[in-house]
Amino acid sequence: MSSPVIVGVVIAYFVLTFGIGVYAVKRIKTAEHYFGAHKLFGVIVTSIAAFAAIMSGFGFVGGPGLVYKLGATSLWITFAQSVAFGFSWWIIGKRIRLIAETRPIATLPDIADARFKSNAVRGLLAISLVLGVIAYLGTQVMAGGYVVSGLLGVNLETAIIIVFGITMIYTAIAGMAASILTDFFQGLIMLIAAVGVLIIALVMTGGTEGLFTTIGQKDPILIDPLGKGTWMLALMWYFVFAIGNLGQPHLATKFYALKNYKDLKWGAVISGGSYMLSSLLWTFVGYAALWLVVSGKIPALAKPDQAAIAFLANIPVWMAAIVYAGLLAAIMSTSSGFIAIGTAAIVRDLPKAVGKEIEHIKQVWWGRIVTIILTIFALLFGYYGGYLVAILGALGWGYFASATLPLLAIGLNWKRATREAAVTSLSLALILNIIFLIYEKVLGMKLPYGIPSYGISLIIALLAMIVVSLFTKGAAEEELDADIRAAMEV
Amino acid sequence: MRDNLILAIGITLFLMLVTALTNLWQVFAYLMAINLSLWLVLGAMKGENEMGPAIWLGVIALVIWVCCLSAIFYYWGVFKGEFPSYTIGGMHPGFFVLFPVMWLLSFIPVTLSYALLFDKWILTEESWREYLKKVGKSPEVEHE
Repeated sequence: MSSPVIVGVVIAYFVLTFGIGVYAVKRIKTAEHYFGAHKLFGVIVTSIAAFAAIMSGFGFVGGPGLVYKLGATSLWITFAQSVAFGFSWWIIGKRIRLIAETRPIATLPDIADARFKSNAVRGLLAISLVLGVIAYLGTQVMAGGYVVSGLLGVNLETAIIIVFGITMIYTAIAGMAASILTDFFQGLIMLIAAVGVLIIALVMTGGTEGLFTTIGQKDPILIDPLGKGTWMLALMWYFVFAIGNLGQPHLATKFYALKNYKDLKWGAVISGGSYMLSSLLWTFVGYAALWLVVSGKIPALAKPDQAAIAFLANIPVWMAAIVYAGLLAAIMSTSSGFIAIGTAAIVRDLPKAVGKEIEHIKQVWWGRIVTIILTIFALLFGYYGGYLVAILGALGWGYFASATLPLLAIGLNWKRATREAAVTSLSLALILNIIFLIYEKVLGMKLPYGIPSYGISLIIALLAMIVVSLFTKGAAEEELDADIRAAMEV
Repeated sequence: MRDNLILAIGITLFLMLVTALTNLWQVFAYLMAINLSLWLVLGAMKGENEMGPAIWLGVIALVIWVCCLSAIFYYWGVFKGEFPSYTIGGMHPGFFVLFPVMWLLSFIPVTLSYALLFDKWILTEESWREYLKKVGKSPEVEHE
């Protein structure tokens, strides 16, 4: 068990998060509020929540671990975020908010259906979301469990129940509204943690001069702009993460949560700026852990993912407590968003895709039931799934980017984009991701030059969307509904 | 114009795919810079042909990416595998271009520009009212 300060801060964090999540139920008046927080929040809450949803536990643990292992290679992921939020706002932000003005949009399949007028697109997208959500949540179960188990000194099972029980309850009660409001609070904690860590890391290592010189004299590759990865890996990471943000369901959903169209104005700057601050945590925790090892203050780490923990063991306990709260915030904020998105896909979109619709007034209650079932299923999958969790866990960022991005980025910006192209692109994204999953995780093979497979899936899905649209006509040009056409012309 | 932009995005994507699979990473990098700039232009333009500041934004972003990537590749090549003969605040010159130079400079035309151009170009009060009129919704309802 950790020090009393860390335990106290973590417990206070849990209590506050739970309280805020439950408080959000006051905002719920309609099914659209529950599933999409439709026009419920202003710019500050939504933008910080958008950043918090995108910054997952990976940024706190996996990112610094990659810096420890590879040097600067992985930083091309996190540095891409200085433009990624801007791209999201420019390419889809305005269009989604305009459509939300005229339609009760609460899910991404709602938008896809409005644009492409197709149950097949709605159904395929909903299935993609549910698959991705379960895969993602499965990976978070053990991560969250191990963190809390170590912090509170409880066994793994109890720790999993604490983290995901709290997340499940507030998400079940207030859906996406709870997710966004708690994301806001969790985002603030992450920001405090990031700034604190930056200051402490620089003071501890003697500033950038002491930090990089010490590491570079031991191994110069660790401080060059590429690190130990390949250029194709670093550059493809920059591309996928710069443009792929707008295909992430937990970001795109934030646009129809905006109360007023004017709330769009500062959103990109607030979200992007917040993420840039938290990038410093990714960067400097990783390098500070390297510095600790190189300067002989701690022994070499057995696993790169221990970099963050090793760093936290060497900073003041009150700061470590805030960073641990930030790590839990990162895990829980992304998880609650995914639970809400998966629930909406099951309750709203899959029935609509087969021509049925749950009575509007009953949707919220069904949403609560499905939230509980989905979370428990994901917990069981994460706990007992073993090897399968590791395999499906790869269906993360790139999977969502390749499935969703072509529909939104091309579909909402090009009247010639067709229904047939959307179905082709979505199907290809699903198939390619599964093929690459088998190729890499089951057969143990790799694409050449370190190319991440989701980069290839994303490019092919985008190309399919463009090429097929040139030869088909469904739901394009004159077939567009008047409000969709108007939203695309502004 | 919008059709041409989409086609240009498609062509650069195809070339990126080819260069990725043949490990022509420097060519890939410049194609990526062009592709990202085209996405910015696509998002910033209005209707079918109204470019407004879109072209300028795209050009500024492209220049930043091309200059920064070139400098990163240059310094990486010069000091490959050795501790650099000079550093900037302890940082490898190539790393310094990646962070903080490219990190901060690219933020300006792609992210900060959105806030700066919102009222004048992206969604003016007038275009908002026009949109509401087109979709048959009164502005009064909006303010309730």
